[in-house]
Amino acid sequence: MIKKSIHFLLALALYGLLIFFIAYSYPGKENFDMTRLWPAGPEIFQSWLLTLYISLASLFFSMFTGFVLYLASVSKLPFFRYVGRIFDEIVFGSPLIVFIIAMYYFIAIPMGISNRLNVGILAFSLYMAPYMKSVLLGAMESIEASQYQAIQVLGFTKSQAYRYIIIPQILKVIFPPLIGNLTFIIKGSSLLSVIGVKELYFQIDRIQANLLLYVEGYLLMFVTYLLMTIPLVALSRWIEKKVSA
Amino acid sequence: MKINLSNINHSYNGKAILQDLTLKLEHAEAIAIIGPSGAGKSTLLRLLSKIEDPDSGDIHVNDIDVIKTEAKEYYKKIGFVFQSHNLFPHLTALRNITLVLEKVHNKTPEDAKRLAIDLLTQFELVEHMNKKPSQLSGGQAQRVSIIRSLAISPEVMFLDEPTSALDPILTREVLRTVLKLREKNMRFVIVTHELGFAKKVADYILFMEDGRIVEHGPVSILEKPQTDSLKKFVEFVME
Repeated sequence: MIKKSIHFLLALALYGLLIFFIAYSYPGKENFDMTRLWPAGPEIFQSWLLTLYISLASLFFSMFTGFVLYLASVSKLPFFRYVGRIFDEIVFGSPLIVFIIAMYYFIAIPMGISNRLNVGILAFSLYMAPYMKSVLLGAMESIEASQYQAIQVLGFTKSQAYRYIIIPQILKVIFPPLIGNLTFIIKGSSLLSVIGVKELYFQIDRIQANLLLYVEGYLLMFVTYLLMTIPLVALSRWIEKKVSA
Repeated sequence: MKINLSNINHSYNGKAILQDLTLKLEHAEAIAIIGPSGAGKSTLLRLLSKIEDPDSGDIHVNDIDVIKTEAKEYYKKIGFVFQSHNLFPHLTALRNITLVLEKVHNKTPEDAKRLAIDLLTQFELVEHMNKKPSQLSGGQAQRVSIIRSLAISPEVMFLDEPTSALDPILTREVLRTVLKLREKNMRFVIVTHELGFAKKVADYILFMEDGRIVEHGPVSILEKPQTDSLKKFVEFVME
């Protein structure tokens, strides 16, 4: 039997071949020159870091918004459940780009919030809330009802139950979907360019227009985003494996 | 152990599960509740252990007014073993025992560990103490669960069909552990389908059918049942 790693190398070779074919058949290949992007390197790197910052900050705040939405969804008061459900429908029914624009023009500007970066993070934190809520709901459901009975009859207080029994278990199952959400945010962060946030897509787009290096710019975009997302996906798989072991 | 039930009624979704149960027991140390499925055995155990309160009636266990006593206080005095082991899956067998000792019963970590290891040794599980529940067999996990309940030195233990989720070999292993409880003079009430075991371990039998206690008395009632229901049940189970 051929080893798994050989299969992996063969798959990589297939993609390599595809890239070679595209490069070979590309009409303007004699003018292709990635090195001309080099002077813009620091700027691009800064915007790459900014994208990472936006994504991590959005993920962090979306945990809070998601938790609030989770509490609303499990509330005994129907009012809170409806508030949460309506918010879910708004998010699930809106394309991210429309949500970002709406946040900027209908909420941030009337409220006098001028920092576009903060608006972007706020938009993501709200947009991701229903997704985060689903992650939390799934995690809570992963704890069997029988455990709550044991918690009750053993005499643990609510705070002890959360601290020693529920949260440690939730943290284990929450990581893989959390990283899934982070990659979603990273990919979606390129849409913040529509409100003028100088993230990775915005900067490369500007640079490639200035230097007339469109193909090189797009290629760089591709690679830089993958440089963020692929390690995260690998990390998520690794954690999943560790947790299920 | 004293158990005093007066006019207990309990229902789920309008369906009566327990009907007008009245019982006065003194000096029974190990009580086995037997009867066909749906007789209300587990429900009675849940009421005795205050996992639920009855719709009406009074329950006293060892002179404790179970209904009026604060749940948290009552839970400190009893142990409960479920049909499935209900161990916390992220904790080792040892930690499953020490956590409750430290956090609920205010033992120091050292004392909790010493006590837990001592019990695990007595019950021949010490070599498994660092395993998570998923690494234990069903019988071992259930035995750890029994030790977890025993570790708090309860006044009385309630065991709800602790072998129902196990195959016959693992069942024997768990039943041996319950016998050991008896040797340690632990007072307990057990719901069981194992009639032979009930004879061996219990000193008092409650036979239930259709939400009522049909017959009760010392273990000898299994040899000489007074009611047709118990007679039929014994014959059916012994077949």
